[in-house]
Amino acid sequence: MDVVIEGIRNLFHISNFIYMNIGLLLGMIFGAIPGLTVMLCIVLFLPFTYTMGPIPSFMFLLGIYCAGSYGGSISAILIKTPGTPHAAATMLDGYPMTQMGKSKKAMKIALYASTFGGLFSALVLLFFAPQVSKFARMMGTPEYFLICALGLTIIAGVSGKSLIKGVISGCIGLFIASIGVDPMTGGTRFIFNNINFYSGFDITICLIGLFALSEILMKSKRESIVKVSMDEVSKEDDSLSKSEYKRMAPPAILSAIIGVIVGIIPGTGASEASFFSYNAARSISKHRDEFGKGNIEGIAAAETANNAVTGATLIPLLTLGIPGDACVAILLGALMINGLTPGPNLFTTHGVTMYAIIIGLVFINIFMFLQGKYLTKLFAKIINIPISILTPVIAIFCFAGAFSVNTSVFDVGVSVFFAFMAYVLIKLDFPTVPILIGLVLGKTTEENFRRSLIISDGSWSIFASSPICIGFIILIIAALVFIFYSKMKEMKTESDN
Amino acid sequence: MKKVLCVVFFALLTISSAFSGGSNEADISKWPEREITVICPWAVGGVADVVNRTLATYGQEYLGVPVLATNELGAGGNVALTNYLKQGPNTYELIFGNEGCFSVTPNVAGGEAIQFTYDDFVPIINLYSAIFVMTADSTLGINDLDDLKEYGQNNRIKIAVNGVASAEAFLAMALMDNLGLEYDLVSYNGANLALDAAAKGETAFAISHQSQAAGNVEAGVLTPVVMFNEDGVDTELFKDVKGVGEYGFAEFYPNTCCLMTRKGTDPSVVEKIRNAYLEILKKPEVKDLYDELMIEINPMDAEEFKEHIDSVTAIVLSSK
Repeated sequence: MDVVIEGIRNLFHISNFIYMNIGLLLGMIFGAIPGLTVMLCIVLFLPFTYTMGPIPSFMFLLGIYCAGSYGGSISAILIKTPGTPHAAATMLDGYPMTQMGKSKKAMKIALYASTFGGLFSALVLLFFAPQVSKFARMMGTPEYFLICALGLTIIAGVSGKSLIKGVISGCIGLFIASIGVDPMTGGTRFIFNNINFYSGFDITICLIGLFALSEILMKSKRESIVKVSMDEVSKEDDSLSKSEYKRMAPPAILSAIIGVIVGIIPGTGASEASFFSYNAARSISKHRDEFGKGNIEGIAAAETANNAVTGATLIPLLTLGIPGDACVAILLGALMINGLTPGPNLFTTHGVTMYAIIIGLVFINIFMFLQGKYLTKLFAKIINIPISILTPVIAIFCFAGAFSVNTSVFDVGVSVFFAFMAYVLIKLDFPTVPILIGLVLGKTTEENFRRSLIISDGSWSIFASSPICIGFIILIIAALVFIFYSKMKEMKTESDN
Repeated sequence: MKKVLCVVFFALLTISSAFSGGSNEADISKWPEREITVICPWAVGGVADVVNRTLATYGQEYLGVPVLATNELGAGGNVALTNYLKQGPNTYELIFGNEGCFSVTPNVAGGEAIQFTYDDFVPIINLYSAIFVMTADSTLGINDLDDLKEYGQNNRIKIAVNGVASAEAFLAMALMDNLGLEYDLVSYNGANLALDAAAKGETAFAISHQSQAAGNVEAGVLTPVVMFNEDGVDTELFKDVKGVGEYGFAEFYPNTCCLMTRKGTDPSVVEKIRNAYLEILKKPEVKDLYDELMIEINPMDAEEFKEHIDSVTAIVLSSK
């Protein structure tokens, strides 16, 4: 307990809160602008933390990390362009709400959900880190594969009218994910002797093409984002009723738990968590038909989950020394610069600093809420900008963003290719979200599948080697049965009509 | 008239070329006149990136101009090194390279896509050497290579590595071939994940940098088995661990990080940068960082670095 109190004492310096708020503001801006990734923001500002000391530098970096996770939702909701891959699921219901003239409400839900998810995971980190860490240790390669396989069933939920077309789109994503170096043998696949294909395609670049640039192509003939009159928009009532809070509570709680579980699994992150949660929220909702058309539960689920990942990814980092995603890998470097070696002994040797950082994470989420509350009003004004001005601005950010990921002009070409591919697919009534799911989960699924078989000398029994594995197998079977049952029911209703 | 214009144009072109050549000569003595960018072609937050960013902060002090640290990722550094071929001699952009790029990648599947060779670069100074360590799941009770040999008689050995075409993977292959044991390399996305696999018993062994294994070794979750060098290291945590050289094996090499420039760069420029970095490496703060990261100052010059590349290439080719 003394360590915790000493941690609080170390945290409560005005400089820590100043750095925290600067980080939050930067993270929100970088998260909201398509292509300017949270990772880029952390990389750019990392050198400033070298002389700060561990607590202020972590307040600053975690501020960027958490706010970036929320910031992506702003552009996803307003202009159908997720600022980060994490916000792609938010876009599915956020943008339709904007089209209905309810952008402020959608952003409010995103902020509330993000804060809830962030606080939930920060508290899990504070009170249950050792237990969660033990649970993380119980999960290995076969369990990771089964989680990814379960994740692939999400494709059914975001396929729209045609499951077949959704599955085809998902397969396109899986195929694209296989381009580059074979993760298990080191050989190459579909690189055509071109060095630029060597490491495959970065998800951010694909995302820019699939959603942002393709949307620009699609709306080139439109005059406004919103489908209702601007008078209605200006009169928008963004307050949430009691019944709406009640509707959002179950998916938010479920998504927070999903976010924490996904967060502790290395190789997966906020993108997977938000899609998992979106799908789970859809499954338990009484308003399933409204999903994809502006359902508040969809936004709440996706945003709660992607911020619930933020605290959870720190659990394997701090207790086991395993960075859960790329941003956290940078935090690992920052820890080491400050003389803190992540691993099982970190809490014993640097307990005060660790507790200061963890308690700081709670405050980061509170300040994110406060900053978001005021900035939301400002961001909401984006939809008032005429589309003839907004479109070229978004296009510039998209190209700059695609270039900035690897400072490569080739990547700009890749994003344009994806934009045209998405344009053609949309015109043919193929959904594009399954492509993203295939891209996000493809590599992880394949790697864990093949790695499991190497570990087991080719024996498939490894996939049923633990109670957790069996639990996931049951969930996969249940998900498949549910998908087929729903489709049969739909077909029956259609034939009856 | 056209002919006259053509003659005048070519005359101007010749004169300007001559002057540009002259000014270039003069510029070399003044180099550097503007900021220098050092490209780390590997992951942000990794050992090389941390070193790059830290050393860059002393650029102004020792080179008289700001030194900017940046990352250009893709294909284990090969995208950045390929793009670097666009640079000319005496460029203001420098880049890191190591045995992975020059000895491993060109000699494994997909190597035909690599467009650069070692000769396209001029090594300036090797910034560090890191000795890889093999660790074992502590529940197996394997503390040295003799224990490992005994374990390998009855078990097919699973070794977790950070990529099967990585520098550490070839060390594992060479060692297992020398011991005559049956093994599988299990590829993970990062040394930390490879270590975690061994820590929870998914694989029996892992190979990583010392600093990456330190947390688990301190906690007793992993036990160090062997260092991939001649006779061990003097870091507190691993000082009692023998090097593979002590067991009579010659197939080992350190992981390096060499600062390089483009072929054709004036030797005086190379000398200037080398001297500046030699001074930076003497800073106590830098030494502290190196201790923390468990890496060694090993400022190899071009000749020594070439020897290193050649010896690693030989090991890679023999392990294939």
